[in-house]
Amino acid sequence: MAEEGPSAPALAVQVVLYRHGAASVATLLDSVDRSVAHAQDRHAIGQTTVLIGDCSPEPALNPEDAAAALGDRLHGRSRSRFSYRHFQSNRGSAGGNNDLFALSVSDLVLIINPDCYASPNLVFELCRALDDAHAGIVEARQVPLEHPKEFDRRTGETSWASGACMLIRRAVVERIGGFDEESFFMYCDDVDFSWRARLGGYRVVYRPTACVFHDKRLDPHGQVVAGEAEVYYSAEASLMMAWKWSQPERAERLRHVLWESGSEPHRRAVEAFEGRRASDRLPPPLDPEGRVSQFIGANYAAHRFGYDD
Amino acid sequence: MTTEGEECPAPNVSALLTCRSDDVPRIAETLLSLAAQSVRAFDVQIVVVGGSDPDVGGVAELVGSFEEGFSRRVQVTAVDPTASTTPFALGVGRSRAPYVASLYPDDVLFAHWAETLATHLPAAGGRAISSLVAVEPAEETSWDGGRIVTTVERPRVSEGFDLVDFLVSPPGQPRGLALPRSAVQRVLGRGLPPATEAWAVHLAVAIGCGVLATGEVTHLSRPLPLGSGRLTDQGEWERDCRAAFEVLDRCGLTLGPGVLGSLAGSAQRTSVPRLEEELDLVRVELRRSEEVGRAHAEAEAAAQRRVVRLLSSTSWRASAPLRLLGDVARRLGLKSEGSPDP
Repeated sequence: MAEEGPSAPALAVQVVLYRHGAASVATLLDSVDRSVAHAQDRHAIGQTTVLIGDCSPEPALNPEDAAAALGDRLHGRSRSRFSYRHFQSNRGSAGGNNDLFALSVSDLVLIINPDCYASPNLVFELCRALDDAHAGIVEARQVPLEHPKEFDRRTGETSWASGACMLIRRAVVERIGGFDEESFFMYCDDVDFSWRARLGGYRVVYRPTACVFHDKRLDPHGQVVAGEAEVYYSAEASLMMAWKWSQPERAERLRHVLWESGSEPHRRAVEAFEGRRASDRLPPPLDPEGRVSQFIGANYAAHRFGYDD
Repeated sequence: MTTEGEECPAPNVSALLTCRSDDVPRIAETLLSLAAQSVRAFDVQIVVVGGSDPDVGGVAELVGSFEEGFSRRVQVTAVDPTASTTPFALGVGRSRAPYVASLYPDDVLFAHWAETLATHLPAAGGRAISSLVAVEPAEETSWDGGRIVTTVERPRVSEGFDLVDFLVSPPGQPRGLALPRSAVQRVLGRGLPPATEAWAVHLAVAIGCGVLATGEVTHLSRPLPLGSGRLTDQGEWERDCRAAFEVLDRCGLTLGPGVLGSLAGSAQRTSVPRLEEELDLVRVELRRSEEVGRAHAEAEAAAQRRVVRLLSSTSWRASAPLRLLGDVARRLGLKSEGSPDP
């Protein structure tokens, strides 16, 4: 590893697990280690800490062994520090990342899903986007299924950044207070986070040269494979997004459509939303003028195409 | 803690990636998708066509930028375009895995490609293994001095592998098939025209061994509007196809004589109703041939299993000293009592 420049920003890499195996975590960390070392060699980042938070009912990794074996992997190239914590409860991606935010004071935070694999130049390319002083969140390009959001072909500006892999300035977290874990358990927490960052004056940019592999798959009809949990939490999140971002009529329409679909996860999502409303646990609406929020069809940005068209 | 990542399992399949020396940026995502496979029982043979040392160095540098668990399973070789060995044959020749699969620049794999092959391999019985391919149109643009590929339409999943469609397909690159290497090697080296060699080998193996369909979407192909594929022109392709058919007709594919040759140029006649009748007849013939091929392949696979069992059996190991003595005796020109004359 090359000498780090005195001003190279410190990085925290955050991974939230839920029943992921040791082998897949090891592969992810190998890729992160390479990518961090590549960025360190180019003085884009300095000291790095990898923080793993585990939401599984039982520890997905043996804590002692994980610290030894996985920590050693990271020590090889990037000399990253390593920390593993079992949360004892399922905090979801939003709550898990908030807990991890509190464990470091790094200048930058890279959030990456456990089903991802970092390309060698991922971290370096994400950092390059922060040459723009107004950029607060940088989103990676996902392979094999690229997220089809539109983006400014010159600046990379886009509506929101996917939490599968995003680089965040610590200042953004300090300013807007992390993810809204009360409203979003595991879907749309990233959209909400991005829009609040934009309300706070930051840009959200997409960096197409920063590639990350994200293990998404297609069924034989070309649809993205989704599990029941994804169907439920996506439906719940869509209701919460409409409510929180001052679209009450959209929330009502969605509530009706989801209920009428007859899908069991959809109906449970509607019931959960109604339960929040009845107990006054819905968040105060934001952005009534629609300065940053975008509701286009079922999406939160203009899309080049839809996977379910 | 032991992890799969630390083990280096024997490869089930070799990914054969052929590229040109100026393709280095285009194969980065192909390699990324290989590095991210959920199981690592595969290796990668990259053949750089027309590569000089610096070009190959560029590919090797790209490979070396990945973590060692992956990069040590990738081999990079250069081949001169005028060499007698084709890139496909060279890649096959370097493979030590029981199966080989062709990839092209700008292809990416889903994370379960290798896992799907590993799952279906025990039941394949020596057949080719086919998976579904999603095609996703893309455009290439420059970005910050580099090149990016942006997808512009949703992926469409192709129909499963169809031998006749493949047979009459316009010049194309065979994707989504993993072929038993031993069957590939039986066809290679018989004088197939270089431009159609990979296509003809896939065709011959599919006919000769049969095809097992996994039903899984494991490949994503992102054709670009210009410059992708570098396919030969139609006339050249058809001339080479005819030459390839002549070679395959001599390979004993259990098809009637001249069946393949009768289809030469059929891609241009697809509007003629008679062609559909011809194709129906060929489909019947191919199905029959495929069944025969499958039986052969299963028998071969069973024989290989028997050999493995024999070699690992106690009696075989116990008789090793006797066999060694026999070898020594033969070398010394001695004959054991009662052994027949050669």
